[in-house]
Amino acid sequence: MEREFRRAILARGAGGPAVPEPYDALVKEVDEESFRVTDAQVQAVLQETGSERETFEVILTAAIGAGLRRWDAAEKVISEAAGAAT
Amino acid sequence: MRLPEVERGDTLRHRMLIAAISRVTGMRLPDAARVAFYRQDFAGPSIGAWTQKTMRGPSGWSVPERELMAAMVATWNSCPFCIGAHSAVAVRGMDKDILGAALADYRTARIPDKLKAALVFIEKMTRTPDDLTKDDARAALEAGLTRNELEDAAAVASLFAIVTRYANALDFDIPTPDNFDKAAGMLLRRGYA
Repeated sequence: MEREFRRAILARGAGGPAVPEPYDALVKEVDEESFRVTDAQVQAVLQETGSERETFEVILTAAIGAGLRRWDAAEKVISEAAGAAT
Repeated sequence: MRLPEVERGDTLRHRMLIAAISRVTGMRLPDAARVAFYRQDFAGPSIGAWTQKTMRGPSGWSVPERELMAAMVATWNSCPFCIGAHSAVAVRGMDKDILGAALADYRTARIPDKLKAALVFIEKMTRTPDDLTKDDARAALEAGLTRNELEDAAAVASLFAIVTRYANALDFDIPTPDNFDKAAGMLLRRGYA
């Protein structure tokens, strides 16, 4: 996957701007309600990429975006609170 | 599993390893391990190292406490695979009824106040990360957590923000309770890397 597109998916997984379909439907669902992801959403991306390897990368990248967003949010407020306490 | 190649393995070595581990342990190798084997050129090794450090590395939190945090994040994210896998590890180091009570409502469960304060923080971080404020962090610090302990809890929550999402999106096969228990033994003996 192209680096720029991977970054766009990472950002979308973190609640950022939409990416082209059919990627957006899957990536948004992974971020917001991953338990609602459907076979059809995964199949649509699989058809578009033509490979399981890239489809896997889309899913993991979206998930990593959601995780990093949470780490960044937590670390920011922990630093602020710990800084204020010293 | 929604991607058959992840289930089978993408190299001859990994296909043989999946078959051998399944044979030796007498259970289907859980999908979490299959994901870890897949696309070794991509995120697998980094996520494995991060998981090992977060869940088994030095920390003010015990292993069962960290496994409970993982199971709680899985509950908030509705991930049945991760709830089963991490409850099965946690229960080996804590009372089964207390674990069940914590999973149902950690605020009223008989767990240490410090652990409750960590769970309050990571629940908000999991559900509404943009609403976190320094007051949330301050509340946890005032409850007795050190900065390192709060960061360690946040690391568990961040990691399982990722794992629960790909486990759900890939539709991981759900092992039986016996096999979750067997896998828990392996995760305690061998770790995650």
